Amino acid sequence: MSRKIRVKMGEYRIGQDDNVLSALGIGSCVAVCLYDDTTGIGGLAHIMLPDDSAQPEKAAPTLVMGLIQDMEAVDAVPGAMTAKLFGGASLLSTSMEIGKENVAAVTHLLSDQGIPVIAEDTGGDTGRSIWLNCRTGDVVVQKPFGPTERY
Amino acid sequence: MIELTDEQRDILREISHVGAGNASEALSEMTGKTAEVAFPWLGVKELQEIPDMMGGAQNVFTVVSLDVRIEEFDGDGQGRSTLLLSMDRESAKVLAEEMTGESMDGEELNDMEKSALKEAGNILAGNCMAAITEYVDLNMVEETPEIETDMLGAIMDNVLLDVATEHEELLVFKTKFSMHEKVDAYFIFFFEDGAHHMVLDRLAHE
Repeated sequence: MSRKIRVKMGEYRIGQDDNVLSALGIGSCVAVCLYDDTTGIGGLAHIMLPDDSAQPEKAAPTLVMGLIQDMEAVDAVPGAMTAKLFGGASLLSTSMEIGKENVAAVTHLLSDQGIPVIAEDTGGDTGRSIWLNCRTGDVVVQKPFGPTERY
Repeated sequence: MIELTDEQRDILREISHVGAGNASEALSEMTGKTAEVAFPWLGVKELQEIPDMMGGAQNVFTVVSLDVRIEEFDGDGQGRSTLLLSMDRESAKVLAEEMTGESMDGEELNDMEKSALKEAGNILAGNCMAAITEYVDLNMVEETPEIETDMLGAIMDNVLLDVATEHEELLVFKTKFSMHEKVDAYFIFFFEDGAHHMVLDRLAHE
């Protein structure tokens, strides 16, 4: 398995050890990072739409549940998972609310699954690129203007 | 899946050639500088691949985006096309300078520079649409352009959002403009919401 794994819109991937999962240039999309620090298994879902009415395979329910199942399949423990959320910004004038809707949908799904959100950098009006370090569960966030931050 | 016949592909190539040629001529006229245009690329792309073909999802670009409403003259058929003029920040600054004839301080674009770049988007769009309507009998109405400087992927999230509910992939035209080695701009457009059927069906009848 390659060390760096890029997760594109509408995809989810899992990793561990020295894998770094990334989502680059997220706008209204939301990147959900799940991490089980008992097994060191991490996962990232790059969500484009809040509900599965139009394109279920790009939407929060399919992607979040798919990610949790994939992590469980390699022995991650749902009760040990924590979540970090990034993205959900508003750029241009066309889709003001979709970012917020994505964040709300994901928050709701995680709460239903009993997975706590322990860090979050969502909303605003700029993009983000994020990298999840599967060895530590840390997430590095870069915005177009300004320093990188660690969550 | 969008599949093109050889005939459709040939005509679309020709259209994109004429459109890109017209557009670069118009841009040259406005700035007094030669705008060179690369051989247009035409193909079918998955949505998630589009930011990378425009310069990389995480790179900061200035993007002018413009929607075009496509209507049948004699029916209620409607579709849409999105046009994007995408360039790195330095190119944006230089192109704005060429358009306004004034050199402004600061890395960020001011309102005058932004509206000059929107105008460049308008000109390119108008010329491309004119090229298409020479081949197909459709009414094309340009809407007001918007401009944003941010990570390309982040801008495209919002552009592609409207498309994502109906499409997995798009028919994409792409070309690159250069102006005296200081401006590099990608010009991209794609059809949505049934617009490619409206256009392709008409090409088949030619």
